[in-house]
Amino acid sequence: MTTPAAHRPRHHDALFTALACVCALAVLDVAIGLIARMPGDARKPPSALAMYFDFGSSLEGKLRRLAGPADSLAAPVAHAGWLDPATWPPPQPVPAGKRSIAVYGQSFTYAIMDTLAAHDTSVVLRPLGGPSAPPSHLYALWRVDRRRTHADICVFGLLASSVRGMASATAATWEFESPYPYTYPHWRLAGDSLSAAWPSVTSLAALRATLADPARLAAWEHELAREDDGYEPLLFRGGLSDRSVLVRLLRRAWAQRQMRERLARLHGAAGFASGAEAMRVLPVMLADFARGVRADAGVPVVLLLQDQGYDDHLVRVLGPALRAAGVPFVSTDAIAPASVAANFMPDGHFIGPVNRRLAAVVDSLLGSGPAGH
Amino acid sequence: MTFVSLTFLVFIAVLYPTYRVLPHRWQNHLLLAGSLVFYGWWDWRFLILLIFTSTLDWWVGLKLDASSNEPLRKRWLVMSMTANLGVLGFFKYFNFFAGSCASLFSLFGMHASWTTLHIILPIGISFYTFQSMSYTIDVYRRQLPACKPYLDFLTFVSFFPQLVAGPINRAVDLVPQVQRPRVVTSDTFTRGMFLILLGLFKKITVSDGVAVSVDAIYHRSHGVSGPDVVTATWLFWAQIYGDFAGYSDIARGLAKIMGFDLMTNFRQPFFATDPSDFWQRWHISLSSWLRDYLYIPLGGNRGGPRSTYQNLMTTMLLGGLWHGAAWNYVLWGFYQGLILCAHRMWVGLRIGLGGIPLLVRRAGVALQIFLFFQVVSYGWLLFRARSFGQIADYTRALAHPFGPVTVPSPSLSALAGLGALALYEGAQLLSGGDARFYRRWPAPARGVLYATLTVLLFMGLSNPPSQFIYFQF
Repeated sequence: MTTPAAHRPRHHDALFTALACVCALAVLDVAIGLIARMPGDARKPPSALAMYFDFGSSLEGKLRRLAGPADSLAAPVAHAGWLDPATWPPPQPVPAGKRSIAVYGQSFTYAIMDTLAAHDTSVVLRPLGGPSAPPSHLYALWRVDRRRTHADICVFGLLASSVRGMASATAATWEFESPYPYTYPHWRLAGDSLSAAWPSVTSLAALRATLADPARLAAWEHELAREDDGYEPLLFRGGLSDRSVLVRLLRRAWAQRQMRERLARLHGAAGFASGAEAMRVLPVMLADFARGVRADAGVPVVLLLQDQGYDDHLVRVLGPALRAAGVPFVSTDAIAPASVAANFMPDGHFIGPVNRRLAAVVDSLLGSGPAGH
Repeated sequence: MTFVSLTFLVFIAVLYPTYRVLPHRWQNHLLLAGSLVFYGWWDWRFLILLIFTSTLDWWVGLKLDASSNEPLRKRWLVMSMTANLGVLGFFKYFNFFAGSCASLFSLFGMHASWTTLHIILPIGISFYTFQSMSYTIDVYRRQLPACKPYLDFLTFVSFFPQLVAGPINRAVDLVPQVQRPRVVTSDTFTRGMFLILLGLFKKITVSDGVAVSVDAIYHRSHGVSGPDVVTATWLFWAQIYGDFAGYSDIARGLAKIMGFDLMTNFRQPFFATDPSDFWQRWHISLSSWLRDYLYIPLGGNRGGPRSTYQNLMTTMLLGGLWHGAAWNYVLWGFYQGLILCAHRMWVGLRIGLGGIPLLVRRAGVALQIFLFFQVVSYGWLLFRARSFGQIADYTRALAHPFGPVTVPSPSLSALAGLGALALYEGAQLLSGGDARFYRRWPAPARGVLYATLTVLLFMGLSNPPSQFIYFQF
């Protein structure tokens, strides 16, 4: 004869409920894992639900998936942004009478410059960069690129929300939820100039080899621990924990907390923290970029791209230094204030009309010489 | 420290096991010490004020209890009220009134150089002041004997689960619980743990989850459409409920696992059918406090319609001002008073519904809930707005119901949380409003409920955290 629930001792009931809760958690963990499974083929785009529950996977796990077993099987984003010139598209010949523009940037910069090129047929663009590329990555790109080719104009697209990537050595760590595997140097101030700690992993093939070799992986982790402010073993290492949805959710929360704390050290409602390393490095970096482009008989242009949450914070910090150095620059806040939501698409990029206005300003700047807009 | 911080996790992990092994007297000492640490964690200077007003009220309580001289007792009571309201008024409202007066004079071309001090608002001052005042009033009314042990009284005022954001418990309920040994049964423990889980879910998954969408609209100065205002204000409804009811649930849960029983602060306010019903469901500890210690002493509804409306308006205006030192809270209180008066007039006129079939009556109630939901929502617009200009702009936008919706969609966790909350509240409604309705479910079903809330909580943990809204009050 069974004991009715009402007469069962209370503590038995509590234990039974706790056991049922644990079982239900296990079932939910497995069920969500199955429903929101990432596609086996990294080239296929995952569903929004799968991506949501994958945000908290370890970096190691995400990098393995993105890199795939071979270049041909890697996710498209895994090919982007590497500093290895062998992976870059070969420079196109510039027809006579046209101006070549080397564009170092990310989607924000490309959108403006593509709009410009669509209206001004006298220019030929050569875009180089990476998704969310931070200034330190673009600066390294330019230094490598200037040794290979010449451009009449060099555009440096400085995105406010990517400045936080300057304390890192890969866009995987500071973009934890949707990492980009490419790497770049961590630039530091050494007196009046900059010194770089170049990464040991500089190509997708090298990344794949590193992930496959525990000793190399350990060495890379050691390097990241030294050079990358966003590196954290709890977030980096995967293994079995990646199989549990619940662990992934907890890891994501921890990552968010860490990212918020790191960002708070760099940027707040009042603007960028003047004492932050990036704020000391950036003026030197941009001055060197302008000097180098001019030494190569080119025209430097800096785009200060202030996306949502950044108001006029970049131009406030960098505007005086750029004006003093006579570097032509365009600050988006004057044309499309970051506080006006209508200037932005739901994904955070500028809307088409804003890109057209910005492109017109850049175009007029290219024709009129140094001035800040 | 707040309930949703790692510091608090460590705090409770140390305090709770110790509490469970100590005898009653030592439990109280531990609770007092823990509460002072909990409160002093924000700013140790706040403790001075808390201890000062508590000590005064304890002493006045003894005097009130010992004396049979009524005029003298009244003087003691007035002294306590003056001190409590003086401290509250100074710390909470001085800058507000000084600033408002300066603005008023400037309207007439006079530039008054009012001294605006940089006064820090001690967190939770409105809550513990009201709680402490209820004690002296109850002792004065001889509804409660004075609490003689000083440390017990201090424990009552500073009891950390409800110290900074309520529920505002009556001395007549809480002081005896401090003074007698408490029992923690398996039943109270599991109920308490469930309340903590439910509260964390409401705060972290629902409230923090929708906050970004609400702020995106209410921080905007232009380019807001009618549907934007409606959506953001509905979401603010969910945000403030998740925030405040979540805090109250956690507070009640924490108290319960320590053997205390704190009063229920919310009873499904979304399903209110009229203003009177709303205030029996929303922030019950404050509304009942205002009723018992302000509205009824003012005369309540005993002096005819005109006096009743006056008393209602006075009570709600002061209730609005209690929320914060800003004119939009006063306006919100005025609005609440107005709809209470309007409802009272309507009730007087209403015809009987006896002959109407049950199904039609139920449909009518559903429609009433929906319509009253919009009425309360407009009140939240007044509450959430940052200026009178914004109230005017957003009210005008409501006149244009067709336009683009530019409110950023809440995160998946927030949407799932809102859905789960609606289901939970709906199930509670169907069970006749019984907050313990799920306890009648079989253990496996309860296990699934706890597991689902846990998963949703884990999902919500990555929402950007925001401070509890009611901490500022």
